[in-house]
Amino acid sequence: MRKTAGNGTWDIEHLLKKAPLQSHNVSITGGGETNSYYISAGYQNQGSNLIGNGGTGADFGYQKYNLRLNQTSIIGKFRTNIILNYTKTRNKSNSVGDNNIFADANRVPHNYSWKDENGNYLTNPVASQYNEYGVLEKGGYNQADNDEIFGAFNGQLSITKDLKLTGEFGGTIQNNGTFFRRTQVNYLPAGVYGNDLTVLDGNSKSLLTNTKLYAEYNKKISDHTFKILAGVSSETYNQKGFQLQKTLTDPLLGTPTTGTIVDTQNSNNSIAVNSTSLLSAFGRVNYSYKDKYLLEAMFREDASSKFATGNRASFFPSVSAGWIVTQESFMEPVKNTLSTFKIRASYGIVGNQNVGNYQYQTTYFNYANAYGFGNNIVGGAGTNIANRDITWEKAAKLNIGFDAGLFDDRITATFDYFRATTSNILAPRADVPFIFGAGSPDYNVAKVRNTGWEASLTYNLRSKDLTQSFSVNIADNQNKLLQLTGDATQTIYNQDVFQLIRKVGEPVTQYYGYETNGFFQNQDDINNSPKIAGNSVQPGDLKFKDRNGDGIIDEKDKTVLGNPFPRYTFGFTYRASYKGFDLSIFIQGVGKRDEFLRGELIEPFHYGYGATVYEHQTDIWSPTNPNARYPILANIGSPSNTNNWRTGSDLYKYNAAYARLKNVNIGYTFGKGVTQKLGIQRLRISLIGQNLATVSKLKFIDPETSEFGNNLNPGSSSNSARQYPLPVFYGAGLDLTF
Amino acid sequence: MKFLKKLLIVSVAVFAAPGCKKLDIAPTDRFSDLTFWQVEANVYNALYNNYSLIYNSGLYFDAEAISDNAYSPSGDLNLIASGNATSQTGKFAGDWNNYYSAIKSCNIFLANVDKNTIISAATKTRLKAETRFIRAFEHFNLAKWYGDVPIVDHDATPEEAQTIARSPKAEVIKFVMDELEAAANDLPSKDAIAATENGRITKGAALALEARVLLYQGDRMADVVTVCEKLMNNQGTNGNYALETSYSALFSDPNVNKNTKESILSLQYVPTLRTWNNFWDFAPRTVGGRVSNMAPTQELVDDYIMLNGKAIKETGSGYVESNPYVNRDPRLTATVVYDRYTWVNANNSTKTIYIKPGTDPVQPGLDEYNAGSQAASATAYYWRKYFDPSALANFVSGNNLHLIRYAEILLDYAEAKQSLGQMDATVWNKTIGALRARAGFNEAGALNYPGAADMTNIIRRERRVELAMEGLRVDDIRRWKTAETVMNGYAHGAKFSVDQNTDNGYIRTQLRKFNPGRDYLWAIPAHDIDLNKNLKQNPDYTN
Repeated sequence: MRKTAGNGTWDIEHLLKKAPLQSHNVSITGGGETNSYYISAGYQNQGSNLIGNGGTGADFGYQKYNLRLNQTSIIGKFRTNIILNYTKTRNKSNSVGDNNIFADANRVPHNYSWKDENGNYLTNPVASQYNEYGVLEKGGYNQADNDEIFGAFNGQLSITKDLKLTGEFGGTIQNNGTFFRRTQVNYLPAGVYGNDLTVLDGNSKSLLTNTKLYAEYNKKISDHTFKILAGVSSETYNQKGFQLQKTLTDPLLGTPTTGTIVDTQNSNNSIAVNSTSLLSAFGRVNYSYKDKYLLEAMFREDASSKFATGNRASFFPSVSAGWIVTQESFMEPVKNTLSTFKIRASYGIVGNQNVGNYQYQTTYFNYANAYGFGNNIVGGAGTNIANRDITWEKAAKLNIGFDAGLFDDRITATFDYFRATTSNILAPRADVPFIFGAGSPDYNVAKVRNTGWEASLTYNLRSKDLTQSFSVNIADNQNKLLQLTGDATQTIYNQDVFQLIRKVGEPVTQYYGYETNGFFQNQDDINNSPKIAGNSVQPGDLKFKDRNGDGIIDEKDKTVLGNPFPRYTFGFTYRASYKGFDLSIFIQGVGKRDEFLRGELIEPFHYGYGATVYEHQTDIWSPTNPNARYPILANIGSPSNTNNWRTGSDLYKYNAAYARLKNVNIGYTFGKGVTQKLGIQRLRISLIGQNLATVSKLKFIDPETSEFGNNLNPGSSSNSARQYPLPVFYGAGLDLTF
Repeated sequence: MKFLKKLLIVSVAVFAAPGCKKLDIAPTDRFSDLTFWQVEANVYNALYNNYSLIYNSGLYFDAEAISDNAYSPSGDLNLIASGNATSQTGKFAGDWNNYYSAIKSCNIFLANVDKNTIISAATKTRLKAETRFIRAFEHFNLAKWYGDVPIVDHDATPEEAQTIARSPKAEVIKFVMDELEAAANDLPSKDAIAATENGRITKGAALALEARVLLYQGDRMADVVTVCEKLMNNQGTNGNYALETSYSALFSDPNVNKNTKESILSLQYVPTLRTWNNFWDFAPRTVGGRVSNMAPTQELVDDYIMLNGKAIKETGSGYVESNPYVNRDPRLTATVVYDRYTWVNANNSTKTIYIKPGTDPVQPGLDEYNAGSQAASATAYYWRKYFDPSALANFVSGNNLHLIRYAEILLDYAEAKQSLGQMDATVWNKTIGALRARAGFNEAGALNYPGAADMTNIIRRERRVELAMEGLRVDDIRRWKTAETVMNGYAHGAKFSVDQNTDNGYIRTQLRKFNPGRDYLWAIPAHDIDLNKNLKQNPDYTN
């Protein structure tokens, strides 16, 4: 929507504000030869870009406090180290969820307003129930308070000059609290939010302990250097939580009052009860000859409580070798040009036990409110179907590369090629029909390969006062699904209005659907073109490619439409210093990426819930605009709307390649002459800018956003473009060293 | 210094100790296979899990939207009703998955319940019979929609699911009937159980489902009569069932809805705890409806007869097109909200619902028909049946949804008798006559046996209006093979079309198509066809 067209305030900008970010760190180091310490304290405060505080307390935002102590003592043959770290974070956010806020803000035309002149929150025919301005200012909040204490003690005994015995003991205590409260907001002319007056208090505690004992033996015999290490370790984790939820609490206090109800479904004593354990033995041998040839071999044997006896333990070896070619005498003649050259290679197997805790055991869970008899509620019991045979995932990783330095390392270059094949991937089977009647538990079924390379080049330029460095890096990574489950060749996932496909031999997750083929330009064109069976269309509707040429558009014409994986990620860094001044510039980007987006920022009058058309959506077909980006407007439920927006095509596809000026930092360090008078060792002031500019074809959303998490889970919800563009950050810094 | 040395020695000892930490960790917040079935309460919870999967409010109301009783703009319902579904249609896969999930739960129960040594054998027999009923009901629904389907009569492995083939529909129906017969023998009559068990599956429910299964076969009418007569004439053994006094109270009055003698089986809900709120998208918007997601058609409205017993098009009916909602079958007002309807609120106050465009003096644009509206009804009708005055905000209701009512048995009986050429005044009085009297008719023209009239149509019309919004209409038009007629062409709304010259001014809501060679069966989900090579697709669907 064009801003000038409306005269109200209902848009996302009115829900956003500038938010300050502060970050302070103080550290002290001290001690002598046998005793040293390090103490640091930090504070960070990042205000939310959303307005409001939910009605009470501080504004929305995130705070972090941390304190770290590190103490090392050497007493003869003993060396001890103690680390204590305490971190407290608090995150206060709104009670309805950012996704809803963006959706409601974006789907209502700009001629409506959030508030009237008397400060009443308004609703309208499009958003007839909620007003998110009111929710942010008065509707309650969700606050997470997390405390973490990490402590580690390790002692090292030097038995002989070459033999050391080390013991480590550490633990992490986490205490995660949640407090949620919804408070009532009334709207005009109608609508109310939060009249259930819910209050939820939840807490989860966990303890992770690590114990490790190992011996190291180092020996150098003439040109041969040996290092041998062997040890055992044990890790255990225990977690337990509870939560209590009440509704119809006191409107002002949120405490129980007449009529307050305990929400039995959401109140429980023992939730998130988890316990795991991992026992390991490990060893490493290093050998080098004349610091020219380097060889390392490692192994671990891990046994995990997540797997049944017999499938529990697994052996993970790895080897690596390096050759520093420039140490060879035959390289002497070129040493002025090629100052450093190292070739390295490694191969190893890594394990992953990423499954739920008791998955190999069939378990049952009782739950409330399954059914009723005679108006009395009864509980139910469900089954977690098990696969007793699950075991470790294994990733075989090969890496080959070199490091080179030219002209006394003024130019340095590195190159790496890698290939990682992960097999026995734990995933639900893709070959189980619905007839089975339950979701498949995880099996060791899938296989994926990642191959890629990474190159970087740095050029350092030094003159009397001016030092500069230019650095570029570029990398590419391609994944390929080698096996899904047994002989299964593909799985299709419905993800909202479009589909995802996992197909053996191709990238792990891809977008799938119809390929568009322009628009039906007139009735003749309609009569003579393949169409989706049974759906009538009009000029201005999307045409799809009849890939199999049978004259009708159906499932068989669907094809892979792209994938969400970034290709050719690149970075460029420039650093310069001149006398006291320093400057750094960092640009980052992705050379190629497809992204499917949906929602009110994509579809005009989105799904009947929205009533907006944004300026970037206005390239709409008409007889005079036959090559538009978007089809003709049509009512939800109409055959045209179904054809254009409900069938899943590359209409939803966007080019998410971008380059971004990520960071600019300009600083000045005062000369010693000035600082020493003030009793300061070092004083630097700086100006910082982040995300200052982005070049991308995708302008209405941050091109970095993706619907996929690290696990590439195709069950994740599709990307509805409901985030605000990445905030631009300006700041100043002060570094002081006494 | 000495202290540190000691500390180091102690610490080394500490490191060594946890080396033998157990890796066999049993969960402490849930039961395992070894412990679960021994506990009596768990067995009941497992049984109730089967009950919870028997059906749901979505399936219940969706069925109406894919019949000629209603229109829904919503995704798959729209696709199926308009004849545009494919083997990829989500509802085909979703429903299939739902039914087989319920079957899985039943099979797990049947495979394990005997591990319990505390519950008496007699009680276990009853619990098993209830579970076998549920499993049979799911298989029946599968066969109804998909034709030949795999029979899964034990807790199958993934490998079995990959190879099991479709059994011919006749075999599935035989399996269902055998199971229901066995269950009926083992189940208690509803009169033999405590009120707190109201809603449990009884002997009567098993017989009533038998009647439905047989009726749907079309060629088992004599058996339908036999089963119905067990329920009508042998109530001492099979349970005392009777028509409720008030038709509307069955669906709205929480007390009647829960305790009526007419209920043979219903989907059970409990206020605030186990609820449904589909009605939020059925009600007029001026009384709290959100969007009209399913709306009654003109075709349904037209099938409600006049108080004098005549169909609206019949000569002498007294029907006036410009004032169409007066002197009609009282079930129309109990079911459908039409223009200038008097809506009775929960507190017994009333409100007029204005649907004709431009007539609402207070809240124009909410309920009024508007061709462009995506929130008001597309047919200019809303629903009243199943309105729950005791519901929480947004129509969150704890009322039951009737799966089998005694009225259905009477209609089954009438249809079977008519089909066998045995319809007469006695049968009429026990069935159609009784239903009309209960509905509130009092004119002889409606109540008395009409003799050699178009009896098949009268019974079918009676069945349609009596059971409207209970999800059975779609079954009827498919088994009568009338779907190819009534699901072809436009579904209409009230006479408020902008274009008063087309279709006599009735709103053209949706253009529907029905391919008789294909659409009497749903497609087997492509997902399962791909993974089980022994599954063959139904005719005319591309895989």
